[in-house]
Amino acid sequence: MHEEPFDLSRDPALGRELRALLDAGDATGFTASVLARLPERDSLWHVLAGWARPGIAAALVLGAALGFWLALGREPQGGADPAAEVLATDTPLDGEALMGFALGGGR
Amino acid sequence: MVRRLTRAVLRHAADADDAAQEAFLSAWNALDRFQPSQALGPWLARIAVNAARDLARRRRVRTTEPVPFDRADAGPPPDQVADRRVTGERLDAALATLPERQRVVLVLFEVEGYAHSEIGQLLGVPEGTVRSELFHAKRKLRELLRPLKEG
Repeated sequence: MHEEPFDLSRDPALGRELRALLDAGDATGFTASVLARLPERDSLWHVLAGWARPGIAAALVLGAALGFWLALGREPQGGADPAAEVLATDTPLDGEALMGFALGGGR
Repeated sequence: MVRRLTRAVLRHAADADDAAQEAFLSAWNALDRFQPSQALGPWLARIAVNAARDLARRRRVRTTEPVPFDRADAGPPPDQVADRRVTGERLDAALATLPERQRVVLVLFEVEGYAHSEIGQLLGVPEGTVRSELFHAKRKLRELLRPLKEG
């Protein structure tokens, strides 16, 4: 052990000695006896589901909010979608129309 | 960790294993109340300490003549076994002189590596109490083990 008085820092040597003293043997036998005493559970799924429930709810709310936001953002404002108009036209695309569309000018 | 803590509390190998089994059963039954946002170790440690304390209360009538623990590590070479056994026996005897809470605090800090604040939360006592218990425990051990070191 360290000899410093009032020392509240860890003492690795003491820790090792304590661990060696308190460590119990026969982990296999102990584990087997614990497992033998465990009561039957329906399954662990309901535990996992319970843990996951808040996460799932948060994901659903987030997903709904995101979907709503995307829907608002994609809603046509003041006319048809220029891309749809370009694609719907029977006339072949010319360079000017294509560049105008790509640069955001619409048509 | 669970078996070490129950041994620290009970100082009786068979009772400690009984308490450790109870702790695992309690943890299993309380699993759906465990919040995954909290750390598993302190949760399990608290259950272990409580299980050991419950067993100690139930068996208080038993005269406390602790059974020396079998040291589980088979590592040291034969020429060191005797020295280590002497050291272990002395440490065991010194540990037996500490109050239960000091033993638990000491093991949680020195063996399990928890911080003072974590131990306080785990045991439901102020951090200052943890520091105080730790200080007194280490001072007592130092006093009791010094003759061996100096000899």
